[in-house]
Amino acid sequence: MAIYASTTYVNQHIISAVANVLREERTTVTNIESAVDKAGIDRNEVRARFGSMHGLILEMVSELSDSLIEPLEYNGEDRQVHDVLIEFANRLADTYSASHLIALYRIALTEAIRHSGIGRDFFERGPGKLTVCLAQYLESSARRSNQLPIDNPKRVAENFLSLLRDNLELFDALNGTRTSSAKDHSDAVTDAIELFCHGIVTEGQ
Amino acid sequence: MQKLISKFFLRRKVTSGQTADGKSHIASIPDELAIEIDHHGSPVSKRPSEWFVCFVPGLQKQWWHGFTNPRHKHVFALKMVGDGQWVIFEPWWNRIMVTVLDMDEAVKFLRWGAVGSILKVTERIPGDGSQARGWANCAVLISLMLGRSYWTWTPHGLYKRLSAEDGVEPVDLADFLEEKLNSMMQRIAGEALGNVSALTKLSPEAAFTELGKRISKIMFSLSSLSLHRFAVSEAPRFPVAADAFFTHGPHQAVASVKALISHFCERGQFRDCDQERTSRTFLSMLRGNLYLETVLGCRTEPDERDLESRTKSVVEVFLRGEVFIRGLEALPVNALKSRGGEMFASVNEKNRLGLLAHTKKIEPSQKLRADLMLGGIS
Repeated sequence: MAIYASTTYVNQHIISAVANVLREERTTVTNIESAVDKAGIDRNEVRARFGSMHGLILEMVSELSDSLIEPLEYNGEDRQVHDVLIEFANRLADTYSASHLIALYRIALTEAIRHSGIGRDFFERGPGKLTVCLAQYLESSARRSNQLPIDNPKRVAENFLSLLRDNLELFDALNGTRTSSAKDHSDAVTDAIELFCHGIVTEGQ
Repeated sequence: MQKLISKFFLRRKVTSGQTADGKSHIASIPDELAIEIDHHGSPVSKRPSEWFVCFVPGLQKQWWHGFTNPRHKHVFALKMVGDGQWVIFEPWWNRIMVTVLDMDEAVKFLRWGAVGSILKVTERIPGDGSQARGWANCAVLISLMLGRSYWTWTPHGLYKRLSAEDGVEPVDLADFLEEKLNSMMQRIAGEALGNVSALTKLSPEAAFTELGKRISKIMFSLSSLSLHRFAVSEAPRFPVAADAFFTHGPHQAVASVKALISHFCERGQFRDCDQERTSRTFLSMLRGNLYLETVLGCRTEPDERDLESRTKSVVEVFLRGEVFIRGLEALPVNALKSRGGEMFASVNEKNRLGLLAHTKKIEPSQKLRADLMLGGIS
């Protein structure tokens, strides 16, 4: 048990150190090896613990996804669906704009150009996992509140996530340096949810 | 004797590729299979292409590196063959790699080239190289491919010979990419987005469906996907070229969406909103997970029919909202507060939209029965 705890601690330390480098140099880092070097970690240590550099990337994506879906995993009756969705949406907006996700995305895309095979795993552990978890949450919430089942929960979840994907910011590498205030995030989340629920057309149209 | 001489001349014409009637005549080949050839003996006449000849340092140590120039240890060549597509000709030890690359893939090779030197060279047709030149190393093969007869066996030697030619230019990769991305994206966006102002005459549904289809068609095209990968992956190294992609690509699409939103807002058909943000949201919805999956190489690009049905579904949600979710009470949005209601669509709403056909067998819960009795069905 002590060994397990120690291993987990060291892995966590590596992830955290590399994530810091990626966050600080999100507009310049293009490969995981240089981030590992800048974090002062031995590449062999990474390979030994995560299997490969790809293993580290995928572990980091999984960790981000796990933290994002936390609000969806709490099934207490005391929480309203809208509260959960707003918390989930706020976490997403923060992650898209301030975390090391953009740097990870760039690295995964660079690997995809080289056809190294990481793309599918990256998608499944990142956006794919979020979509599945949100779909399950919406479905179970509908069931819990005795509502009719949702036709295609995965499609509904995908639309919700697309709205909150912070639009171009994730894709526009040059916007990586742009900073946005907490109010911007809050407004963006509110607008996205409003659009998701009611669309843009005025009533009566 | 005269017959013998005329036979000799006829054979000379055939072997040199020049025939009396423009056809190749070989005894064992039927006449109907004979093809027209040009004066070089080629079935098709092509104009000389421009090649980007890359003289590069090695990426991995080789025993012979000590005998060659530090920056020019290997040579290969690429040429553009279409919108963002390239052909590479790279001699290996055990084969010659000749394959088509997308822009994002080609840039990986060009970046390698930029560490050494890149020369823009026009090939010669028919050229004056010779297969009998011998020792088929990279420098010799590239020289032959370009139709040159240089007696040099090293990449650096070839570099010096080509550099001395008139018309051969060094290539600055950053400048080239900036110019190329600017022109490509302007043309692609201009042709594909079309006249957006004409869409204002349509209903919101028709206008956004049409614009959505146009944007999706560009966004999911092979060349755009490749340029997106390039722009994200190479932005730190080629920021101006990456900026050209975003400026003339996604930002141009956003501007078109914004123009439509602005038009329908002015007519009172759309509610007040942050038009810039809402436009970006529409683009983000068109992308969805599908874009991420495609760009990450998890799946091939979707066909036009898939994109069309997907666009219609996105436009429906964009205009009317997700029909299954209603009224997020207590959200910090006045419009939502005033609506109140439940989290999920009511039976009335689903009935109105004809969405209950598949749920006939579902027994309504006690709570739902009570709701129905209180609210009634219109």
